[in-house]
Amino acid sequence: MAANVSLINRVFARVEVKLILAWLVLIVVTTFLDPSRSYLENPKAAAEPILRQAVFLGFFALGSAVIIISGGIDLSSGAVIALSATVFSCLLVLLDPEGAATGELQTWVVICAVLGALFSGVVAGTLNAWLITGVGLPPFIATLATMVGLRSFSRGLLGAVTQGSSQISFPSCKPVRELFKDVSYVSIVFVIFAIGMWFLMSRTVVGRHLHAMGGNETAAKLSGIRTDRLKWLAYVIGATSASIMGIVYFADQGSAKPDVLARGYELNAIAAAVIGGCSLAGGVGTIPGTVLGCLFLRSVMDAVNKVVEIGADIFEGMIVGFVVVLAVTFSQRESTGKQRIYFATPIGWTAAPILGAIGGLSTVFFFREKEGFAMWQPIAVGLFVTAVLVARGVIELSRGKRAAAGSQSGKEITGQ
Amino acid sequence: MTAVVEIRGVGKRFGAVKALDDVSFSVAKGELHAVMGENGAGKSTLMKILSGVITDYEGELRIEGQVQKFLSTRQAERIGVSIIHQELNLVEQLSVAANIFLGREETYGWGILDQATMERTAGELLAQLDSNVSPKSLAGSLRVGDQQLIEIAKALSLDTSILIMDEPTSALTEAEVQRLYRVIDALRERGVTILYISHKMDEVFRLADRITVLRDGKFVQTLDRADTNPQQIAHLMVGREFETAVTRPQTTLGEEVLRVEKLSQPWPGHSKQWRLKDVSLELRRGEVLGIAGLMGAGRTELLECLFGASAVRPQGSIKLDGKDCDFRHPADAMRAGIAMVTEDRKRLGLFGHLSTGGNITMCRLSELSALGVLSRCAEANAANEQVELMGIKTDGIEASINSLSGGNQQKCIIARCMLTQPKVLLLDDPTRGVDVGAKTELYRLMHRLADQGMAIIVTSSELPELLTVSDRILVLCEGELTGEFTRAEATEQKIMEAATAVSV
Repeated sequence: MAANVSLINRVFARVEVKLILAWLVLIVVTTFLDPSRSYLENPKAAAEPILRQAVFLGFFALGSAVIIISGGIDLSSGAVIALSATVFSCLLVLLDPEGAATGELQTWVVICAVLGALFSGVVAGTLNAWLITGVGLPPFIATLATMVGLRSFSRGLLGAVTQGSSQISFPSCKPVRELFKDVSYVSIVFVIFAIGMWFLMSRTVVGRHLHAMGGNETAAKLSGIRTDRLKWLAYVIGATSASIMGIVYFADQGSAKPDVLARGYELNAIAAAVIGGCSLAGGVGTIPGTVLGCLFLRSVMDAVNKVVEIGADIFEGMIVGFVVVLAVTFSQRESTGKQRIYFATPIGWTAAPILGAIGGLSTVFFFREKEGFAMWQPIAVGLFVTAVLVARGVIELSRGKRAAAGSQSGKEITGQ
Repeated sequence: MTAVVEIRGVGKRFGAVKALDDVSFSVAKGELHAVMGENGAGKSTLMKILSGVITDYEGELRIEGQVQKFLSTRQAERIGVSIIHQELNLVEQLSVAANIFLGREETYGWGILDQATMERTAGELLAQLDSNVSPKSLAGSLRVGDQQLIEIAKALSLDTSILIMDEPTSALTEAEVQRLYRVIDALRERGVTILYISHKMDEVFRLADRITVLRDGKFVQTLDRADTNPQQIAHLMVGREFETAVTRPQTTLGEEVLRVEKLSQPWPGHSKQWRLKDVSLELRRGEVLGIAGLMGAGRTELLECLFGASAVRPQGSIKLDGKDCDFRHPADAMRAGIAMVTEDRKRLGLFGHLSTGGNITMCRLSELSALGVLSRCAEANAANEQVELMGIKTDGIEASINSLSGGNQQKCIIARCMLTQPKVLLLDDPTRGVDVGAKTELYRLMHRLADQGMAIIVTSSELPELLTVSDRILVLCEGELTGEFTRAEATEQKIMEAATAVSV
């Protein structure tokens, strides 16, 4: 019986299980709040865009997760997506100019372009790894340099190939685009990719070594692990998974615009990995957790989109920020087990009205075009949020007083 | 005799583990009270409760008759309780004075630092402690012994009446230990009550007025030093009889396995050009070679060079089984048959986020896998076998490595090395922070391995230990070999003379 209890505790302590529960709650809540009731009336149509976006994010978020678990960070994955899409489209144009014009590409050309795009990922990953292991830069600096550098390089490459244009479009690039019309096809590819990554990280020597290096790099080196080669592998996996994404995005959108494509996506990937339980300190994290992190993040965005009914892309950053803060806050609460004081400090008291103002203004952003919207509503929301947070602060304060009173009464007993 | 600290029914759990269970005893004003026990006995936990590091526990604590429930170390310091942790708490990038006054800086007002006053006061405090360290020097540039004095100076500046010292001598050389003893005598003259945690019988019997023994989180007994002896204390600590003396009968040594000739390691950017200079040695199968030397003499550097782990590559030749070796990475050394147990377990050895089993098998994963895929079964078998062989006390190989005591963690790391089936085993201060019982077990383990034909090089900061385990002892001083003694010749006196020899 006791064994059963501890088994249940262990299961519920897993970040994956918590994410699934949080996701289910999210879906139920959205179903009730969504005025169009799309989750109930047409679940298949509602699920498709979420799944599609989650899978797209998932490809390079898994790469980022591998790097984060190994103790590094990759800021360049968005730029690598742009690079890979550029290389892919440039190869199509260079190898088969006629086909590129008509949209009837030959298969060998497509295969060459795919290989070329993947190779660009290997090159970018190797560059990152060299900057980190060879030059000795911190991963944050190295990939910051390649983040800005590779995007600019892609624009130069595209300009050189197209003689000055800033994008390549294939409105009817058939053999490639047909692959991605149906989300199930991409999803299957993703599931295979994710299982492969999971297997690599949890069942192989390389995976164990990556975990070990992320947790204690010096100890790993002194255990005879070739940490430099392992880092190369991690960054190449990261960049190659991003380069797969470059091909997928290109095919999905039918154009390569390296100046804007996937700009800032690296942060979404890192966010998804963190939501999925990866620690930026390294050594901790799982592939299934990251997959669920992607699904959860995209579902939140979709839910906001459904409820608000105006461009969720504007609010993407706010949503990602909010979810990351909440997810990490909850996981911290678990690990420290202490009752944390959030608001009963000078900074806390200041933060409460700031959060209230953000809440109130968000109400304006989201609902200003709805029927029955009136200015008192956002003000009420702002005041309500502030009041709740201040109330929490007061509770924290009284809890602190009670603890102090406890030791006080102890003193009185001594006095007797 | 008035009790200045009274501990009543104090208990503390970490998850399922009871670190302390209903411990009660009292400490008299002005005495030096030693707290002894094996690793995992609960000494450090108790001291963390006393100093406000751990704030939730059962039972009560009285200081000067008043019940205290510290919510922070700051609060404990205000009452006059300070702790000097085994692992020192200094900001290495700040000066000595800045460290002493950290969080309580002297100012001219408006938050502008009064450096002059702080440096003068820090200088006075350090002078009282018989130290000539400049208050302006960076804490990180000092030797461990001097860093410890900074912590003591900080405690003095706080007007500490109760000072807790957690294994203060574990990283000190003999000379520094002697100075620490003088400092402790001076503190006692000022009326400071000292709670002293240690594994070392000789220093406890030299310093303590009374000795409290803990075992498995429980209070065992408090004894007057005059009424007891080391054998009795050791008996109380482990709860069973054991011999402190471990000796190894003279054995016939095998053929030569390692020969090092004129090994030198440059020291770029340092006034002394060489960290190691012309070190030559040879090692035979079945031999335990001890390396003695003060801190900074180059013991660790020598082992790192032999293991391919040094930051600066050494010159000279290393021959293993007659073959020239040029190790550029520990992986090369391991493949050739050299394994090393590093000095700083937590920083250089352990993977804190992995299980006990994962820590043991780390170096041998490629043999426990097929085509890079781990065999869970083979891994579990290998780990379980080592747990049994080394006598590692753990809840199982799935238990977190952090739940093990220091001695058992060290055994896990030795097990990790043994799984690589080395010809030469390098042990860098393997018994640091390990309790008496586990030390004896480690000595026996070394002898058993040597009897099976392993060639072992061991360093230690404790001379009696080296005299116990080694067949032969080499002495390093400032990177040069200054002495070589067989077990029959070696005495502490001779080794200390060689270790302090001024190089020409």
